[in-house]
Amino acid sequence: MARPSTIHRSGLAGSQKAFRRFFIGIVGCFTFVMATFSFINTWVNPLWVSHAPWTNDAKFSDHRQIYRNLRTAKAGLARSKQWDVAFLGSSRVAIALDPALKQWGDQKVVNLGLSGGSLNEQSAFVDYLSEHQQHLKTIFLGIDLTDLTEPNDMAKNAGFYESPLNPAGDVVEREVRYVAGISSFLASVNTIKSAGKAATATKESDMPPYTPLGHWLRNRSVRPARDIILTDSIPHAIRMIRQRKSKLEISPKKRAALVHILSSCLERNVEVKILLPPNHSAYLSVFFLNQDPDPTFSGVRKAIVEEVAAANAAHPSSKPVVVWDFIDFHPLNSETIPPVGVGDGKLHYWADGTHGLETLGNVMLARMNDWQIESKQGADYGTVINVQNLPARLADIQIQYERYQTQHHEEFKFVAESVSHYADDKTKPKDEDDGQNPPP
Amino acid sequence: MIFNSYTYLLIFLPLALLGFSIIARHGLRAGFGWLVVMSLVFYGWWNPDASKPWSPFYVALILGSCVGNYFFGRYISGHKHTPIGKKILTVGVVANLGLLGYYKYAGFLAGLMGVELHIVLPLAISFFTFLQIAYLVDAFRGETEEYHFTDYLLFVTFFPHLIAGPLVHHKEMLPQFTKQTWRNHKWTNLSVGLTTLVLGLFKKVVIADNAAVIANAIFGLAARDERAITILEGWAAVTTYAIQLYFDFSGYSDMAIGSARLFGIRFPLNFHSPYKAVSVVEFWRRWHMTLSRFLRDYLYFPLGGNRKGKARRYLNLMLTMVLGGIWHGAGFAFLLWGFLHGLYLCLNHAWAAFRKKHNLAPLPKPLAIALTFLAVLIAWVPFKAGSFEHGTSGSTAQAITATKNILAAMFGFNGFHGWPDNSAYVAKDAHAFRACLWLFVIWLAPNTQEFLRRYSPALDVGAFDGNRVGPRRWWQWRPTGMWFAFTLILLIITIAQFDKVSEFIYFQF
Repeated sequence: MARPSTIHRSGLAGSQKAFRRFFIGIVGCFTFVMATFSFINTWVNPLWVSHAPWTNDAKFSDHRQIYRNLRTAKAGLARSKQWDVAFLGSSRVAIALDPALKQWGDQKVVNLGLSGGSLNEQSAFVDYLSEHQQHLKTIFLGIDLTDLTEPNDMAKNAGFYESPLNPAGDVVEREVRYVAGISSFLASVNTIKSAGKAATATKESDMPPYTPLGHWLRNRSVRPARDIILTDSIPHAIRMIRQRKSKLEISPKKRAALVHILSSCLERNVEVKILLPPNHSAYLSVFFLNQDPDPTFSGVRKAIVEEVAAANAAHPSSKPVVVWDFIDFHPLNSETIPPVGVGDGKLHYWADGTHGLETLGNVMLARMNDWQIESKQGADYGTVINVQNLPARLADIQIQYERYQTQHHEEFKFVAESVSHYADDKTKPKDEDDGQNPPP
Repeated sequence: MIFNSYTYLLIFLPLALLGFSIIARHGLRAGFGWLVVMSLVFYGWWNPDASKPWSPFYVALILGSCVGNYFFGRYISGHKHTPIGKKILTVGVVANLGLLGYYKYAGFLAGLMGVELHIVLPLAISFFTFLQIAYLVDAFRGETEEYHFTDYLLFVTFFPHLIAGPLVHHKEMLPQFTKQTWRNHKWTNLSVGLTTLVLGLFKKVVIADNAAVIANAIFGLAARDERAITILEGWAAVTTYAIQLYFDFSGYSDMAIGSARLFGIRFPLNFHSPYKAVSVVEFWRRWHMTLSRFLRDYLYFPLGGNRKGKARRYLNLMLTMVLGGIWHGAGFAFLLWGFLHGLYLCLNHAWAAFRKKHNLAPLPKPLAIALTFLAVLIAWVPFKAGSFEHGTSGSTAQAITATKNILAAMFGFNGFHGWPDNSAYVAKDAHAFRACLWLFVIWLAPNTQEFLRRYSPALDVGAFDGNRVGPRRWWQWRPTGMWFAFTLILLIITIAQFDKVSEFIYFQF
């Protein structure tokens, strides 16, 4: 019989067999994909949140690729075992502080620094640790000075709301997503690849960026430091200054987050050591050169030491919180940036203008823990600040800045020219970054 | 629960479908009862007040609303066209509007008087209130029947339309329940429903959510007032927002229609290529069609419509659109958006009358589409700025600043700079340009209803083509290998991007 050329509006055309084949085919493919994802994700457990009896930790724990799902993975890492010491903060903490140093002895130490992590997220992380860690003794909390005046954060775009750190999240959705989701699957594939290459790995890029203790140790930047400072660090500082010019008040939400962190740790007798992670002097200079309304960050420093003093006073039986300030023009922060074309252009202590490497982090940890310091230069690195000595500290930073100008004349000139270049030309696009530089 | 979640797609929907197909075999009402229970689970899954633990209050609220309106409706139906019926109708409508008004506007009004009142808006309250008001009014008009209580509950709470529409009408839904349409051509319904669902998911996850990144970044910058937005950024912001909103709402509507079709239920058409409209009047026949229909039938007509002279007609149009604007949220931004659309509609009608009087030819179609799109685009600026006015940290000042900054940038008041450099940009130019290319898909490709035209995925599809399906087109979906591969590819691309929690824009209304 000839096939009709038109079909009724009832929507009932066609052979039911073809429809059945279509439906079962699509549902079958979907089920197969989801089942495959679920098996692989639970076998590899790439983000530390999809553990199952058949998970192969021995094969994969050193190779987990958590870079793209940091919030989820660091929360998973936090609940994976009981820790003694945890580092919280942004990528400055994730890169600089090494939880595997031999000086830690038998203590179990984990780096939970989050790229772009703000105080709001650290506050949620402290709550999460309260739920999952019964024996935590010490938290090292890194606070970026620009964080407190910045009302927004990267939480939305960085995966905070999809992570276990989100207190308002849908738990069922989250757990199903970790087991059957694409993010876990991609991380699984990368983890399997990395584990497969482990025996023959010769390049850093064959290894995952993060260690099993959460330290961002590998695959940072491949470009010369001066180049990164020109295209990333200085524009970042200018962006911050622009924001600070329009609004310099301390964000009430961020301040409340800091208060919450302090009180909740002190109530549980967890020792807190706050650090203000350093910036390179070239980056710091931009705030003076481009007329930041408060280039010594006096308002932010004051808010921090005041809140710490209040928290200590409210919890006299707990170990007092101390604030280590590493942000100044100290010689370690003023390591000379070689001009482009000289050597590989890399620095010993710095990844770029805003991220100190573990070489610098080791000095910071030694100072904060009163360990022996190997380099002479590091002996006076960082200052403990409080309400009493803050004015003297701020005056000293101003003097250090003037000294930096004269002692690093060529570098300072490079920074000044770059600043005026960005300030003059708002339309011409510059080279984009290579995607490997962490957001501060 | 949201459609674009793993919980919905992997657990809830399969469970609802499987349970219904098993239970309905033993008794239709039992099957409907199962769907009501699942719909309440769907509704109650979400805790609207995240600052407090989950409470059954909101489920009780929607159930209470259903029970109250059902019995009001029955009483009114028994006293149609009588003074007592009219009184009860008035009480019913006032009670519904009072409840809606309290949750939606009391906080805003208290704020105007300097009192801080934190009221959490129950999910979907606008939608279930509107569809029940229509039921009460129609009961008085004698246009309802003696519906079974389970059918009525399912009509109000059926999960595919519960949260953000389509705003279904009892005359469209309840006859489908009683006719047991789900029994007929099960595999057709399942495959058409599934394809529609996949198309909607693709639109939301792959297109809308990616365009949102650009729009949010630039509008956020404009609201913070940190620096002057450039002309290119201004146009990119509003264009990507227009694309986000289009695919977000179109995606939602497809997923709602597709989910319902899996159960053999057809929803009314809600979205039909609005950016292809040649006038603002036509735009409103294509955008959120079921809300437009509700506003027309239960607001514009009762106000007098166009029956009381020209001046009154324009006033009624303006009032309807301003009220429609405020329905989206109490505040300056949505008020301005409603006012702009009221103005557009008045101008549109005035132009049509002028053209008729002077026997002028219509504008060429591409020009008419472009002009309409431009007008709609301008009005989206305050609409998007509305998001800065609501929520716990929202403020009217921020919404005004965002609106002013984006409009100033678009029309050259900030100069004619291109894209800003590394020290200033908030979104990459290449990403913004790529997102804007979806406009060509909007204008040139067939929409979901046209694509699935042979199987009438929604009710009233024929209104746009004179009820003629016409000859087969190669691009029309059929259960063939080619379209199987196409659907599978869309599904795989969607899965590859399906890693963010992202609500639909219309959920907030």
